[in-house]
Amino acid sequence: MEQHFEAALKQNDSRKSLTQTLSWGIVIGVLFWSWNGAEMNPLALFTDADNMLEFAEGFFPPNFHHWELYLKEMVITIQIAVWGTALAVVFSIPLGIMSSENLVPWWVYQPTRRLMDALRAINEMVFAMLFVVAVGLGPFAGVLALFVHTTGVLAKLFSEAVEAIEPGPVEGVRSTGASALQEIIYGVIPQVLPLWISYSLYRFESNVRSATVVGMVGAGGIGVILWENIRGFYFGETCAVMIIIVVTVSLLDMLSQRIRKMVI
Amino acid sequence: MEPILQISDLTRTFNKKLKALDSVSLNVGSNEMVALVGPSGSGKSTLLRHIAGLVTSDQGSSRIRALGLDVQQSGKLSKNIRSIRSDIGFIFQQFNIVGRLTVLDNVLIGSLGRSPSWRGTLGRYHKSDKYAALSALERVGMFEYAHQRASTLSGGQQQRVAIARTLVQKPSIILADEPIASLDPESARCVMELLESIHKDDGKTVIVSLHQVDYAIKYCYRIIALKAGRLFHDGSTLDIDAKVFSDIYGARQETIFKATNSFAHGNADINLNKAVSTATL
Ligand SMILES: Nc1ncnc2c1ncn2[C@@H]1O[C@H](COP(=O)(O)OP(=O)(O)O)[C@@H](O)[C@H]1O
Ligand SMILES: [Mg+2]
Repeated sequence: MEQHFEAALKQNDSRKSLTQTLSWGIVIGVLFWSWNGAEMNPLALFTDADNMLEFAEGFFPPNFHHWELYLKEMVITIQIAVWGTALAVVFSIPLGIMSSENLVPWWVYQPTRRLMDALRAINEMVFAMLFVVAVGLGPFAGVLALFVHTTGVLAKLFSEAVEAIEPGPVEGVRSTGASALQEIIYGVIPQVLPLWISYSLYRFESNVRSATVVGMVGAGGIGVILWENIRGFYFGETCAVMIIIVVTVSLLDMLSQRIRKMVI
Repeated sequence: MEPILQISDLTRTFNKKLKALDSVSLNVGSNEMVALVGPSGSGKSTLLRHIAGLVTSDQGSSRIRALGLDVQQSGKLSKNIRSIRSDIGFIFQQFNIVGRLTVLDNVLIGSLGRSPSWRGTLGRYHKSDKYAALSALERVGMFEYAHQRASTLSGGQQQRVAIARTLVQKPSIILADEPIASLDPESARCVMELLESIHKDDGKTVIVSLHQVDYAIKYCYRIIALKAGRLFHDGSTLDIDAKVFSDIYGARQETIFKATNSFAHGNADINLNKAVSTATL
C-alpha cells in the first residue's frame, strides 16, 4: 500500500522538477539573447563612476528660484491628466461594452477589441508627438494623447469587468420586458460600477505621471520646463522640478488610493 | 376560446445530441395553477425559459403561443418579444435581483417593460409606478426594507422582492422555476402562499416547477411531469396515484407520496405536514 503511495509521490516530484528546469532554461535563454541587443555594459558604471558623481553633484542643492512657475505648470499637468482621463472614461463605457463577448455578437466585439489593442499598443508619447503636429504645441495636445491611449486601456479593463458579471440579474431584468439598453443600465452597470470607478482612478494616477512627460515633446505641462532645464544643463532647477513632481504624484496617489478603497 | 398558453412540438437540443426537450406539446387555460415536476435534468427550467422567450428552440415545427401571440416559432423569437415578456412574469430559483440596487429600485425594474422607454432608461419612473412598487412590497411583507440594499437580505426575503418585482410587472402569466428550492421551510411556505394568492386573488395563470411533491399536491390542481425531456404525465392532482410518482422518480419515493397525499386531500394533522414537507424528492 505505502509503496503505491511512494510511487505516486515520486512521479509527481519528477514531473515538477522537469517543468522547473525547463522554465529556468527559458528565462536564462531569453536573458542571454537580449544581452547584445541591449548593449549591456555594467562595467561602464565603474569606469565612468567619476563622471557620474560629478553629474550627480550638479543636482544639489536643488534650485527653487522659479518655484511659482513650477507649481503653475504642475497644476496644468494635473489638469491635463484630469481631462485626458475624463474623456477616456466617457468613451470607454460604450467601447468597453462593445468589447464584451457576453453582451454583443463577435462581429462587434472583435473589431472593437482590435481597435482598442491598437490604441493601447502605441505609447502616450507617440500620440503626443502626433497631436502636437495636428493641433499645435500646448496642453491640449497632451490631453488628446492621454485620452486616446487611456481609452484603449480602460475599454479593455471595463470589458473584463463586464465579462465577469453574474448573468442572473441581467436575465431577471430581461424577463420584465426591458430593452437591451435597460438591461445594461439596470443589470450590468450596478454590478461593474465599483470596479469601473476603481480602474478609472487608477488610470488617473498613472495619467498624472504620464502628463509630466508629454511636455517633453511640446504637449504642455511641467514636462516642458523639465526638458528645457535638462537641455540647458540647469541641473539644480531640474532637481527642484523633479522634487515637485515626486511630491505631487505621491500625494495624488495616496488620495486616489483612499477613494478607491472607499468604493470597493 | 384559445388557451392562454399553447406549446406545440417543442424540441430543444443541446450540443447536437442531448434533447433537453423532446417534442413537448401542452396547453394551459387561463386561471390554472400548474405544477411542473420531474427529476433534476428533466427539462423543467428549459421549458419555462422557452415560454418566457429567454431562449429559443430548435428550428422546425416548435411553436409557443401565449395570450394569443407568438412567443417563438421554429427557433425564432417573435418581433415584439419585449412586450410579450412584460406580460409573462418569471420567478427564478436564484432570485436574480440586482444585489447592489436597493429593494425599491429592484421592484421598480418590473415597470420597465410597460413604461415609455425613455422613462425607464433615465430612471424617471412615474409616480403611479412608485406607488405600485411600494404596495407590492407591502403585499410581500418587505415594505420596511424598501431602501436597503438587496444583497443584504436573506434568501427568502430576496425571493419576496423578486415576487414584488413581478407583481409590479402586472403579467397575465407567472412562471416560477423552483422558486423555493433554495429556501428554508418557513420562507418556502411564505413564497408558495404568495403564489397561491396571486393565482386565487388576482386570477393569474401560474406555472411553478417544484422539487417537492407535497407542495405540488397542496397548492396546484394540475400536475405536469417531464422525464428526460418528454411530457410524461399530465393530469389533475386529485387523481394522481403513487405509481405515477414511482415511475417519475423511482420506487423509493412511493412511501413519501402516500403520506403526503393523505394529508393534502384529507385532514391529516399539522405535525405530519411538517414531517413530510421536509422530505424532498
Ligand atoms: N445552456 C445549456 N447548455 C447545455 N446543456 C444544457 C443547457 N441548459 C440545460 N442543459 C441540459 O438540458 C437538460 C435539462 O436541463 P434543465 O432544464 O435545467 O433541467 P431541470 O430544470 O429539470 O433540472 C439537462 O441535461 C441540462 O444539462
Ligand atoms: Mg432547473
